[in-house]
Amino acid sequence: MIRALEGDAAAYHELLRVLVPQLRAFFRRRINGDDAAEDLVQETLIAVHTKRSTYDRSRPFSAWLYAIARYKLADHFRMAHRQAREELNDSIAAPDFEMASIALIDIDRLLDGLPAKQGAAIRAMKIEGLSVAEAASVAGISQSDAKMSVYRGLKRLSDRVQGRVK
Amino acid sequence: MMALRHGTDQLVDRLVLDIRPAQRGMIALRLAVGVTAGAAVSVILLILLVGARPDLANVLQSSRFWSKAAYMVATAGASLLVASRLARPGSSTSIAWIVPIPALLYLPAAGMELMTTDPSQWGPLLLGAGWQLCTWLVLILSIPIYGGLWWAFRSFAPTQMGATGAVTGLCASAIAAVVYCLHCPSDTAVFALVWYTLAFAIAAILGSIFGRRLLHW
Repeated sequence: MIRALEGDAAAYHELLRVLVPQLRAFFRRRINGDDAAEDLVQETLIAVHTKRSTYDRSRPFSAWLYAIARYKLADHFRMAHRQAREELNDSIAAPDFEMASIALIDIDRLLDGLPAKQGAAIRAMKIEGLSVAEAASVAGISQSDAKMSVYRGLKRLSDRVQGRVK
Repeated sequence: MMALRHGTDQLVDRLVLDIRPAQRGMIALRLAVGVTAGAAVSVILLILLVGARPDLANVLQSSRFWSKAAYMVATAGASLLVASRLARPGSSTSIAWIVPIPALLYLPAAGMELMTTDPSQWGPLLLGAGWQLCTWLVLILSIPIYGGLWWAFRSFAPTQMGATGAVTGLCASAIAAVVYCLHCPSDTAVFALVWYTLAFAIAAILGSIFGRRLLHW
């Protein structure tokens, strides 16, 4: 390492070649997954390279090297932990379900404010997805009456929503 | 897997191509530059905020002034030494015990003051000419120095983030206290030991909190 610090490329190459299997063994013993271990080997090599001037020539090289390797390992666990926690949060929160529930409550409130026939027609055709004929027979009214109720109801709703916005 | 191993070999080749002789004494040099720049900003800040004390020329001959300054310089030096150890991965930090030594050496001076002062006068002795200002100003003046230390540590490789942050915070506040000596009108050991040490403790705690985020590499 000391010759490498002086800028001796051949010595540096030799050193890194020796380090790779050592680091590989170090990480594989400690984490699952050879790919993740290999990533950490590479990250440690980059750190050895960029931080090489923090090596104190009077101290053992391996203490310096494994302190960096342990730091990278701790970093890996911290990141994996954070990721796991975020995923857990996402699945607990279920934002789609929350949004859908809030929307349903809003729709119920708005439709309740309409005349009963219009509200029922909109609910049957626009929310439950019935055809005009089915909705008309359920409500006991003619098809044109059902269509007209939906049209008037939606118009009244949109007037009301816009009026509230303005 | 083979592809990844191949990637590692390629990485080794690329790193070897990039090798240049490493700078010797890089840590000491960067610490010196960071601290000097930060302290210079603090001195300017002090002059802009409150100015130097008017009797500065006189107190330069007083032993009280110098023992107070020595306490802070020694604390700054001790924490800087520990910080330079923390900058290197795997270095021994067993010298951390030197950090509280200046405070312990200064303690008898404060004891002497209390003994030679009538107990009814202990209040003014302790409260001096404005302790709130002193503690807060030291903390404010330590911000540029903490910034300078942070700049220096960006090219280092600290592995104990909490400890490194605390020691750099302590060091920044001790140097800030030296700067603040140019203004502080209270020279008694009791005052310095209580309020400056309070500022050091707050700075160390804040430094440790921020260090965990700022020093990551």
